Amino acid sequence: MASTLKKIILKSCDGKILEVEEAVAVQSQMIKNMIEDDCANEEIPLPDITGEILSMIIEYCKMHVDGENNSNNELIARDADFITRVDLNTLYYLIVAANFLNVKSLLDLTCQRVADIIKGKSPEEIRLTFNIKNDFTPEEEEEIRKKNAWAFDYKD
Amino acid sequence: MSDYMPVEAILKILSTLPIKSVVKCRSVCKSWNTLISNPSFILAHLQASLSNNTPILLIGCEKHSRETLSLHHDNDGFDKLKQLPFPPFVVGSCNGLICVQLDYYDYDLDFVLWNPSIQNYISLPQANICEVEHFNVGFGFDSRTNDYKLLILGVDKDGSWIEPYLFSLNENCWKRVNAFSTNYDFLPVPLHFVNGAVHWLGYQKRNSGGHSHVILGFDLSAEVFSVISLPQSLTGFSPFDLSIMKYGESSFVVSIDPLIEEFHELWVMKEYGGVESWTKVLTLYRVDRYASIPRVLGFRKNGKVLLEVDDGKMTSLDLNSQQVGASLDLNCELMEFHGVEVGADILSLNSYVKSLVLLDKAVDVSSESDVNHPIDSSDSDESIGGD
Repeated sequence: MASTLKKIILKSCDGKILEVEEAVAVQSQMIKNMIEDDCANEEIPLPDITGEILSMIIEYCKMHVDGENNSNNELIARDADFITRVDLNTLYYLIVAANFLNVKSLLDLTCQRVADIIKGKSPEEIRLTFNIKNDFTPEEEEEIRKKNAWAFDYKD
Repeated sequence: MSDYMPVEAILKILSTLPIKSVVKCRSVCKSWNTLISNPSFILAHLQASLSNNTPILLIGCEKHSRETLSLHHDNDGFDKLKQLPFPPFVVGSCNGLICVQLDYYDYDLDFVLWNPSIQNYISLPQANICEVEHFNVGFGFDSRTNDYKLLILGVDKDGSWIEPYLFSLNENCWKRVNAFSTNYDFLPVPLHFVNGAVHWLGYQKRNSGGHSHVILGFDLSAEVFSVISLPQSLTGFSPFDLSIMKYGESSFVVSIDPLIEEFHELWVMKEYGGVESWTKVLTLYRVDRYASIPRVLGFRKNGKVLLEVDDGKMTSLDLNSQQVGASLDLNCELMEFHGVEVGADILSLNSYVKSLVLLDKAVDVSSESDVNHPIDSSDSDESIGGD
């Protein structure tokens, strides 16, 4: 099919140019919409997405296009292999980029990974892991914990 | 990270977390607390739980005159998840909320909505109901306004309907709705929430003998009544022989269990409201003259019917693999038994889902001001396997 050979040109915020097959690029709903609106004939600038993150996203999308005929279990195994190689900092940038480009399966995968990290952690550990500022006053925090005391009783 | 993370992504992450983790996350920071307490997040979390988690059954049992209520995985082993305090009378269960009538024999009509997963409940204002001969209560969800509603239908001493009472949780008050102008009578049994409406069986004596049976419905969003006809062939049965159950997500089963006959029949309405779609799917007979006829308890998420064979022994049966109307040999050795509690009578079976519903509204079950409350949390911590 001729249409699958068409290349889409993406430009990262740090100036890296990547040529991607259309079949791979349309994994991003945002790019798919641009193609449908005939706005993807020139290079597409992607502010906020670095070349490194963009390469990873293209690797992920390519994996899904190539694996279309694979069994569901194989895809799950590949997804798991992909996501466990990602450190926390990269995971954050991947989420921001997957959300912007609207790559649903990657957004699901990355968000699930964060949820898995959160599970079983105390609020202090969660703040520390994700560098979140505690903006409650000690009284407010005590109040909200008291209200949900049962959730802190035993491990889940 | 939370400062720059798109809100959509944070919502997605939090909505996939188990109940206990989400509730803990409320004390991470103010913005997370606000997100989690929002009714639209509570709904999104519910939808994620319904699509991702193993279905759960809420089972009421009685053994040696002791009643118990517990949550079980709807899997092969019926693994027990949690023992709950036994409430006086369960009206229904919907989206993780259990509607409890506090005093079944009293006409004061005190109701509580209880979410055991977050150990919260809310007491409803009393409905000041005038003299009724008998009444029915139905509980369900209005998806159009993300609201939980309770309907009370009553019949006065002359046998005519009173104006029904409708409670809305969002508005936290009762109102009257226009009574249904038909002459159908009904028995005092709990209503079933199916397809956005609460339903119950109605009947009319026929001049030519027998009864006309129908399913009456009240749509909780549109707040209107409706009638669905039952198969003509059921006119010979008395209203006491018939009962309805929810089947799948949006349909019914009518169960015919005559007091004097020696069989038990199930009819399925394959499409909601499609009167032509009523199909007889199962007939059960007595195995021998000492045995009791298996009792239909309800349906599992996979569509199999759950039967109580004897002594709290349950078995499930695939209706699709049965020949239509064929009798079932319950001596079949291949039958696999599920034990909830051997020797116990199964009182009730409802589907259940762990949810955050009421998180934005309710009082903690264990809060000091309510130590004498009928839903006591003291023996509810027998948690097995977490969430």
